[in-house]
Parts: sequence; C-alpha cells; structure tokens
Amino acid sequence: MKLQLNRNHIHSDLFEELGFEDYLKKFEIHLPFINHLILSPLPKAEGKLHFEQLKLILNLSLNNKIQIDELIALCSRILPLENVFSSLLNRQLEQYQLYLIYTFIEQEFKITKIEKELPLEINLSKLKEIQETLNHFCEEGAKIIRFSKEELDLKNKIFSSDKLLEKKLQEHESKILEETGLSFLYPYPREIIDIPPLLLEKIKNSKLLSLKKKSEFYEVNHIVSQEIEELEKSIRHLRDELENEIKNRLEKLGEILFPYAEELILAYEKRKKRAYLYALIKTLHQFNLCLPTFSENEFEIKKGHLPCLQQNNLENYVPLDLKMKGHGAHVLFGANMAGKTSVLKTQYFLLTLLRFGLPIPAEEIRLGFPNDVQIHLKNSGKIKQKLSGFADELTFFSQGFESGAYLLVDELFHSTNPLAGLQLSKIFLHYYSTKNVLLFCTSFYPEVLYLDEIHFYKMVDATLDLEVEKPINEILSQTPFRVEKVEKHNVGKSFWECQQPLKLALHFPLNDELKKNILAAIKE
Amino acid sequence: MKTFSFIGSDKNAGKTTAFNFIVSQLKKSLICLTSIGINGEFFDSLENHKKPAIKVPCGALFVTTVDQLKTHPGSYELIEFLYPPTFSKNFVLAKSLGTYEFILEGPNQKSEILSLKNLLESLYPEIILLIDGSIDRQFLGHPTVSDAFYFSLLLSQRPDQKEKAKNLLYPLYIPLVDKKLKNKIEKLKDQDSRSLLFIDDNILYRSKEIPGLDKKLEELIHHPVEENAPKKILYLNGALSKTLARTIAPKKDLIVILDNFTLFQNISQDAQKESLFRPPLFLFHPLNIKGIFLKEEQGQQRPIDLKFSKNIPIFNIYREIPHEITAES
Repeated sequence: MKLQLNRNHIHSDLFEELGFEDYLKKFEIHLPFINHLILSPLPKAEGKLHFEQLKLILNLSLNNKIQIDELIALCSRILPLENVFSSLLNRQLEQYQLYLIYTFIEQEFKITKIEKELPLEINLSKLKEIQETLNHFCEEGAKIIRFSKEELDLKNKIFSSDKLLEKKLQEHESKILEETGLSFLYPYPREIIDIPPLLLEKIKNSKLLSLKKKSEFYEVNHIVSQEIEELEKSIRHLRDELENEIKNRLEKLGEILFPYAEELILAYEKRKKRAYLYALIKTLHQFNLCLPTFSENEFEIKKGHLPCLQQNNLENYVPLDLKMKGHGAHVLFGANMAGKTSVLKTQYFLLTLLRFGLPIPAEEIRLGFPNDVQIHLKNSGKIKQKLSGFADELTFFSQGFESGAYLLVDELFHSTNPLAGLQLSKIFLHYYSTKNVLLFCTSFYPEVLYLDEIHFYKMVDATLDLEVEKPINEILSQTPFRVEKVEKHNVGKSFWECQQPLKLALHFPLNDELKKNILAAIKE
Repeated sequence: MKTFSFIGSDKNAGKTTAFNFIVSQLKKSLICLTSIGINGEFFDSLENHKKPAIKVPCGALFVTTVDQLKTHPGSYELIEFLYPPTFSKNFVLAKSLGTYEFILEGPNQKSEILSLKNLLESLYPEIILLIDGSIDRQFLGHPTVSDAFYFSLLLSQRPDQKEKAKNLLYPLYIPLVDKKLKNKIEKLKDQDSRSLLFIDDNILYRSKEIPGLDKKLEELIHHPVEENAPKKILYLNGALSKTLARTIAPKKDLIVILDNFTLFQNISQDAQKESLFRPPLFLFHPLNIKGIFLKEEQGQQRPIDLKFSKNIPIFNIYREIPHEITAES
C-alpha cells in the first residue's frame, strides 16, 4: 500500500520542504489489493467518523481484542479484484479470475473469525454460496478447473494421442536414420550442403524425405505419413473441442455468479476500507503516532513533531507544545531565529495530516476537525501571477474560509509599509477574533499587542552573553524553541523587554563601531 | 535451481527455435519457462512472417501475463500470482496440463526476475528456469540471474548481422579478471555502482550514472596520469556504448573491466578494431556458455570463425553438414 496526498490541497512550497512524502513512506505496507491510494481531504463529518473508527480499532488492539498484525497478514493475501469485477459484470469470467475470487472469499472468512469484536457488515452467506459454486467448478482452491466426465475423456484422448504421435514421429525419424544416416531432429526442414553422392542418392530414393535444390544447399524435409497427418489433425480437433467445452462452462458460470456481483463488490470495497484502517493503526503503533480528540473550543498540541526538522537536529530538537482557544485571533511574537515560522509549519504539517485522515507524530492533540487548513508565508510576490507580496497576502485573505478553518499567517501584513501594515493587522485581527475560525499569526508590530480581543504568545528567548561572542550554531543549539502564553497584564512588558534581535546581532561578525553602537542601544 | 538464458545475435537468429529445442531436451527435468517481454507470438507483424510458437510441455511451469492465458482455458493450473508492486504487471506462474503453445510475456526487470527465482527456489529447489532473453537486458549477465547462456547466432554475409554475431561471440575471448583485482573491486564498488575508476586503492570516481552519458567519468578517463604511475582501472557495470568505447579506445593508461559480457554488445566495428582498442579488457563475472545455436543464411562460406578455444557445444539445428557439424541428440 502506497499513499499519496492530493497535492492541490497542500501549499506548493511546503509539500517537499516539510517532508510529506517521507512521512507517507511510514505507511507503506504490503497490501496488494490497496496498491496505491491517493488521499483527499476529508469533509468534517466523514473525517470525524473516520477517526472514531480508528480510535475504536486502536482501543480494541490495545486491549488485545484484535491482533492488527494478524489481520494485516490475512488482508495481504487478498489480490486486486477490480479487473475481475468488470469481467463478472460482463458475465465473461476467465479461469484465473476464479482463483482471485476464491482467494478473497477464503481470506474474508478467516478475517471475519478474528474480528468478531468489530464485524464488517457483509453478507457472508452470499459469499459462502459463491465459494460453493466455485468449488463445484474448480479444484484445489480454484487453482485448477474441475473437469466433467466428458471433458476428462477428451483430455485422456488428447494425452494418449499425443503419446501416439510422439511414438509415430520417433519411428518415422528412426526409419530416416536407418535409410539415410540422417538424424532428423527438430526443427524442419533442414538444409544440407556438400551432400556426398551416395547420401544424395539415398535421399532421392527415400519416400520419407523430400529434396529441394536451393542456390547453395539442398533443403530436405519430412514427408509424413497420412496416418501422422490425421493424428495431428485429430489432436487439434480434440483440443478445440475441450477448450470450447470449458469456454461454454465458464460462460455459464459467469451467468450463475452475475447476481452475486453486487454483494461481492460491496464486501470487497468494505474490506479495502477496513484494511486501510488496520494499516493506519499498525503504523501508529510502529511509530508511536497519535489520533486526535475532537473538541470545538479547544486547541492543544502536546509534543507535536515536524519530522524533517527533527531529522536535521536530532539532539536539540524541541517538539511543539501549544495550548489556545479553538477559535479567534492569536499572535505569536519573538526574536528572529527563535523558531516562530517553525511553529507555524509544524502546525500546518500536523493539521494537514489530520485533514487527510492520517495519524500524526505527536503525544496528544485536541482540536476541532481541521476541514480547512491554510497557510500564508511571507514572500516577495509571485511574478508569474503578477502579484506583489502585498497583493499575494490580500489574495490569500480574499478566499472564502470554511467555518472551523485554521489560518496560519507568517508576519501578518509586513508586506507593506509599517503604518498601513499595522492598520491592516488591527482590522484583520479584530475581524477574525469574532469569527468561527482560528487565526494564528506572527507579527513584529508592537501596537497589535494592545488589542483587547487578541491572544498573545511569545517564543522563549535564549540567554545571550553580551560580552562573549559565540558562533551562531551554538546560539541556535541553546535556543529553547518554546512557546509561552503571555498574559494581558504582561503584554507590554514582554514586548519592550524583547531586545533579543539586538543581542543576536552582536554575535555576527560586524565591525567594531556597529557593535559598539548596538551595545549602547541595548544598555539604554 | 539453475537458470539458463537464451540470447540471440539479432532478430530471427533462431532464439525461439533454440529455446524449444532445449525444452524438448529437458523432458525429464522440472522446468519453468519465461521470457523477457513477449515471445512465442505466431506472427511477426513488423517483418510480416510466421514465427515459431513456444511449446510448453505437459507438467512444465511457465510465467506469463494474465492476458495471455485467455487462449487456453482449462489448460493450466495456477501456482502463484505475481503482482505489483513486486512485479510491474499481473503475471502468473502456472503449470501446463498438456503440451500447449502459450505466448510467454514474462517480467523484464532484474528485481522481478530475482523475485521469481526466489519463489521458484522455495517451491521447487531442483527446477531449471529457462529465460527467452534479450541482449539489451544487461542484468541477464549477472551471476545472480543466469548460471549459463545459450547463444543463437545468425550467420550472414550482411555487414550489420555479421558485426552483431561477432560482437556476441567476442566476450568469449575476453579473459576473466584475476582474483586479487576482483576482490579489490568488490571492496571499492557499491552494490549499485555503474562505474568505478581507481588507481591502486584510491577511488578517483564512483557513480550510479549510466557510464555512456557520464560526462564526469569521460573527463576523468581523459585526465592524464603521471609518468610511470600505475594504470587506472575502470570497472563498468553499464553498457560499454559506442561513444564510451571511442573515448576509451586510445587510452594506454587504462585497464577496463566489464561486470559481465552483455555490457560489451554495443561497440561498433570501427571502435572495436583490435588494433585501435588499446586498453586491456577483462570480465568481472565469467561467461558460461552451455551451447551455441547457428542459423546460416548462406551456403558454404562462414562469415566468422567458429573455432572456439573453449569446449562449447555447437548446435546447427537447421542444417546438416556431413563430416563437420551435426546437431547433437
């Protein structure tokens, strides 16, 4: 089973950057009948039901009521039946397709036995009837056709005729060898050059051989007896007869099984869906992933991972912990390099996976179902679409967002001049604070902090030594990458205390005069 | 388990006839027949003539696609389905319940053939797998795939055909690399290296690129070595294409080692002229030939010398030449 996401629903720059494809590889499981699945975002109701079913399966497996590995192993023996169904609906089954149907039903019975706690609603008695019909027509699990008495007679006749033909041909070849000394073997005709006169005479006199003079050689061929010719003809006739008999019976079988097509297809589709859920839970166990808990007014991520970021920074990676209201406007501020954009991208990654119905790399997540997840990253515009960075941002907000949508915006309205940017920020934050969406953005505008209806967060700063210059990598390794809620009464203080960018600048190889002036500014 | 692959020097070199011939010789053994791509069609629509069908004897196993099974319902027993993603299409491994003419359409990737071999070995350890092959499938030359080969040669005075037959036979004269150097290459190359260029123990270049298209490799081949320095060694596990052969031909400071004989096929006559191709050439894996089948277009005059130093059986299956070569029974 190979999963793919419908990329139309994912930010084009982030699909590769955030490693969606690598994450999907975790779900690759040997399930031939679900060879390739392209996932699309789930509508809210369907998504919630999907995760409910997953939770049920997870709980049953945690309580040892069902064995996921065993179920997956049984499902892995089911082969794709899509082509079989089109033949069945045309009432024209092939011999090999009987085996595929039989194998599916056989596995279905085995699976049903061990998933009693979570039965699949399928008509087992109909499947039983199909199996009985197949058993009547085939042998050894439909690997071989069960021949009727007449067909067996035909088969035996073909077999004995084949033997007789072989014997006759051997006799024929022996006679040629005896008469001429030529060991006449497959293939025919044979070419002979430099025929000694005596041999030429023998061939010419033989009634078993024909001789044709070509430019540089003689072509010698058999003249088979009428008996052999008739025997060959009779074998061809017997074979045609047998094949026609079986073709007719296959046609009849197609007629008999046609009324079962609907039930069979339904059972197969249900099994596919269920096997997919088992596969998700198997991966969840294997990689310690989690399923969401849905609660419309809450949003909490505990130890949410962005695997691509984690891979690059195994030792110092800090998973995301974030708790906020499930709707309204939320602003994150913090110094440069403190990890604000990573917080946005981690949320985008996790919410997008949930939107597509996949378990996520986190310890826990509690939120309203993310049926719409949008992100806007700061950029310098899109030349192809003739959009400036500012126009691109406004275009982003011009799209209609569904109720319950998650909007993630990097540096809200920093795409225009600071005065206008601030005004627009205030207008948009105020607007979204009253809507049933969750807007989470980063900003550097201090004035937005005084808006009443907004929730604030900041990135916890690294402790920087003003006197000792450190390499940037070392500073990054000491950065906490933690989000902290800022209470209303501390909003102003928090911001004005935030001189982290100035302190950071001191650790870059700037000239002494610049550093001196920056240090003076910090101390003021 | 043994695997024998059939390779023809050209179209209509008699490969399928040779294949049928060996099948008929192995009546008492358990055999499995497969082909690289489609083989056994009754008519060559490209060249507008009849082709020999592949006869699968009663009890023999064969591999083909499900679509090719439609012709003979009731004539086979299914053994196993071979399906994606391990295989590129839906193939079946089946047993013939009589002597039938099946069109064989087997898998044509190395990984697929290896998976098929694993399956066969687990089911029938003594089985002989016969692959109706194709010279452009270079993986056939790898010892994990084929234990030995049958060649079908079209002997013709036509220049192209003559050259192709000579090219197919040429690797018989290429010596095997010595054990010490073989071990060194084994250590230095990666599992999927297509080329490896080194001096002593120093790797100058190692790549997964197709050698004939690898500009960096070409550049390094041209790069001169110091006087009296040991020769550069070039191991290739990709076709020694015409272009690459031309690049290599004048290099006196190079030793070339081909992973297997199938990589040699594409050298054109001008690049190959013995006197112009300077670097010593060796094979990494030996070429084991079980037999050579001939199909002669002309009469008396053979276009190429067929006196091999190795004791290789020659089957002249279309022709009887009293006192010279006769088909072996």
